[in-house]
Amino acid sequence: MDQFKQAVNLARGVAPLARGADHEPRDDQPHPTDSRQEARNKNLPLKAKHLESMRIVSHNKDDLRARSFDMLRTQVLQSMDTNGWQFLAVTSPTAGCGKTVTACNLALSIARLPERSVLLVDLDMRKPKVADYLGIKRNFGLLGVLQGRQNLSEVIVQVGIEREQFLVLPGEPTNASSEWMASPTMVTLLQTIKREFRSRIVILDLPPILAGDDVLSILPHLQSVLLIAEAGSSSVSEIKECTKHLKSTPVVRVVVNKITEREPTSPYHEYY
Amino acid sequence: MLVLYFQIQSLKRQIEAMEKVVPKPAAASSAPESVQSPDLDALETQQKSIQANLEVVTQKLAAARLGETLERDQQSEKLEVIDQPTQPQEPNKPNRPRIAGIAAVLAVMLGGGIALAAELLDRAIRRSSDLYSVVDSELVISIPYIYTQSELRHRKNKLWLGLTIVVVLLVVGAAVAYWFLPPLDLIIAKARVGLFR
Repeated sequence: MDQFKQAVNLARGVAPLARGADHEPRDDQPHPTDSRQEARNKNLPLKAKHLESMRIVSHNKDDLRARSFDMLRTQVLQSMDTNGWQFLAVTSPTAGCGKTVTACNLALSIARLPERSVLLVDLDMRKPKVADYLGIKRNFGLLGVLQGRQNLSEVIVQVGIEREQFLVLPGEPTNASSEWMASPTMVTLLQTIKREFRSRIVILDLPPILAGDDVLSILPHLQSVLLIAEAGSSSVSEIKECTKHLKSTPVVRVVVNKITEREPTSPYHEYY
Repeated sequence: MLVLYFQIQSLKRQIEAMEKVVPKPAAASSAPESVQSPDLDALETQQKSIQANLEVVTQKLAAARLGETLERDQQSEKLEVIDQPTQPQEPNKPNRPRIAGIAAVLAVMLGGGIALAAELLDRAIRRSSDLYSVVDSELVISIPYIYTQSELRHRKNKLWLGLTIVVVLLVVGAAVAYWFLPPLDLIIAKARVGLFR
């Protein structure tokens, strides 16, 4: 098990991690700094009912609806491991395609894997919704860190449901979103996150690409992008426009979300 | 009419001319009455006959005038009812069934046209294969719509409600047909004869 983990970490370009003696799958203490922060932050329990009403279902491995996210998770992680990426930015052409729901489901799905851990960052500074979707209180967040009011360790919270746990950096709404996204402070923050949470998969919930220049200004600092398109809403020309912007940033997968008709690739009606 | 009028005019002129002629010899020779008596007699008889002529013509004129006015008055009353008019039972101008039929056909065509236009104008993707033209197909992954429990419950409820309504309508329809309609074979026979028209 340990050898496997080290191999995985090596593949991701991360130094082997010091681990505790017990090899409990949940016992995930990757980094000294990381663990100290987690110790300071109390674990916020998530409510299954609220998550379900927000279409966040991936925490329950028995849920049929979680399967497509597991499939997405596996494919995304394989690509990220192959390329040694740590950051996964989730974005879409326009609003309402299901970025946040997909990001939360992906985070929970990844968190279900014993050797993985996740940090979910709400980078949508216009309309941060991660905290609402997860049902946690949000009186602190990314903006405080950018403005220097708070430490990164103060605003990151650990959330958990059953045995699935991951870290969340919630967002705060601001009008100066595009300025902050283009600011060197943001770049520094991303570098800090990269350094401090080396062992974690960092999922960034971005604003829509075509809604402003927010995504464009932060794109050069991202490693990989997961593009969410909405069936019945996004058009081919929108996707084309997005891929034009995403030329320099690798696109891990393009998700066609909210498909209502049966597809041959749908994991629903197969073996299970 | 005019002819009579001119006759009268000419007769009057003759009388006038005679009267002019008559006084002159009378004034010139008033003493010898006996000499002039045969001449005078002749003139008098002529005058009498002309006078009688005038009266006759005047009477004719009056009769003609009367006839003319009578004719004019009776002109409108000369109509005759050949056939009694029938009162129309239904309006012939707005052919309601025809208009309704045309409207229905137009509505269906318009609806189909709008739906077709919407479908043609809607560039939205429907399935993952729609993206293969712009994105490498290996990168495309589909996620079905995540229905929440309450949504599924609502759908189920709606389905049951719809089924219940259909069943109830069928039962009510059958009951109505059983109690209020004549037997089927009778209806068919009537329809064949055309009694319903």
